[in-house]
Amino acid sequence: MPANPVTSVGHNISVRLDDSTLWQRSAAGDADAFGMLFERYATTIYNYCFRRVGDWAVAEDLLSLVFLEAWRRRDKTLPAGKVLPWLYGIATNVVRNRRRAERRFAAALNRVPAAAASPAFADDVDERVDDERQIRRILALVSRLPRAEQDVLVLCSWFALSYEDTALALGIPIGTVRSRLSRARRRVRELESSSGHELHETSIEEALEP
Amino acid sequence: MSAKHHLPPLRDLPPGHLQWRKDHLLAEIGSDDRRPFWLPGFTGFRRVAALAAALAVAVALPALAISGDIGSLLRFSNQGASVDRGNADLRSASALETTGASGSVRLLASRAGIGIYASHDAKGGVCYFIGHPSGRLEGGLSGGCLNPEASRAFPSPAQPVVDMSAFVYRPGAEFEEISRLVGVAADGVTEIRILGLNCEVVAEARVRDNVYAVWKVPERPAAAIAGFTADGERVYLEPLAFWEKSACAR
Repeated sequence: MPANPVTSVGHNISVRLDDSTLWQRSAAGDADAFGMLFERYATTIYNYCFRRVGDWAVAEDLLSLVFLEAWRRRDKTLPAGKVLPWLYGIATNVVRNRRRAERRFAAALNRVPAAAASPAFADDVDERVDDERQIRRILALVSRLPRAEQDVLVLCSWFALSYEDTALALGIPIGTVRSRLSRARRRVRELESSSGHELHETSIEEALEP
Repeated sequence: MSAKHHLPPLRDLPPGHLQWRKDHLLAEIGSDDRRPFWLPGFTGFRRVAALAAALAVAVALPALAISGDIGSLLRFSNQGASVDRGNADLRSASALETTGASGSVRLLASRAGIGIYASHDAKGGVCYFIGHPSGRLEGGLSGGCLNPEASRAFPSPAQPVVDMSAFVYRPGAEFEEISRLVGVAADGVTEIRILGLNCEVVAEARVRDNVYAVWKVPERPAAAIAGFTADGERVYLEPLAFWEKSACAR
């Protein structure tokens, strides 16, 4: 998924609006600009949420919460080109404080159209069930890491964020990202060696590569 | 043998859910003070109108009925008034830059509180924008440039209209609505009409100086946008989504 995909508007025309422009317009109250950011990054954030909670339907609600929270905090000044890391950061907090976010936006969630609230996985229901089974096995292992290390591992390893972007997302220094990632990888290796025969043929970290 | 732990693949939202979620999001945040970025003073922009639609410079499908004064459909007489693009504010400059509109900017006309601007890109493609009517390029621009093929085709009997209307899609609705009617047309086109589901006229706009605009259109389902000459001959028809379900198609 490119960072700034061309947005097709009309039959023969393409217009490219960069993230920073859209974010600035969002900050000025332009909800349609914010809608474009949603279109651009909804799938990414949806998958991020899924990989943190292991449930596609929950991930979809979390996606809504992430963008509602992002809109609430739209006055945040972001460095150029850093909207996506910022969204990852909000998603991380929403996943972590899911109950609080659900309470804050309870009324909004109740207004989600029934069709969108139902898990209508028409063609790939089997695959999605397998996805959930697989990610939960992985999350069971990763959950044994400290939460802060989980965040860094997921962003850096599963979603290929740079140290800089991960630092921005989590609001921590780059050096802390490095050290946490290093510790996470060491712990993963320890888990691998102590987790029994099922993991002997593959490194957890390798398996967790996207 | 041991089980390998692979991350599940990235997946799209289920079919239709992305749009539903977006509609819901826009509806929720729409209770805030919303306004089109190019018209800071305006309010009441539709909650579920997609920016893509607001930006759309929809190049119409070939006209289905072509006759009459062909010559008038090949002309576009309005040359507009030059605008100093050096005075463009940040948002307008950004819009010009991102769409590739590098040429001089001309204000074709102001209608219904909307300024309709023209420019061209480096390849000679024509560009059209809507924005603040002051001619000072303030408050942002919305629009885009036709690709070379479309630029060559406009204006012509096959392509007498470039429509920039904003469409509204409601979750679960079977038809789309038009919330704003705006665009440019060849000399020979004197009226643009929105046709409803029974082919009735839902709204209409006179074309003057090659420009038409109605800021607020009745909220009724629309099946097509049609262009007519002074003698009432239809020379342009742009079917909208779900056109085939309308009486017009039968």
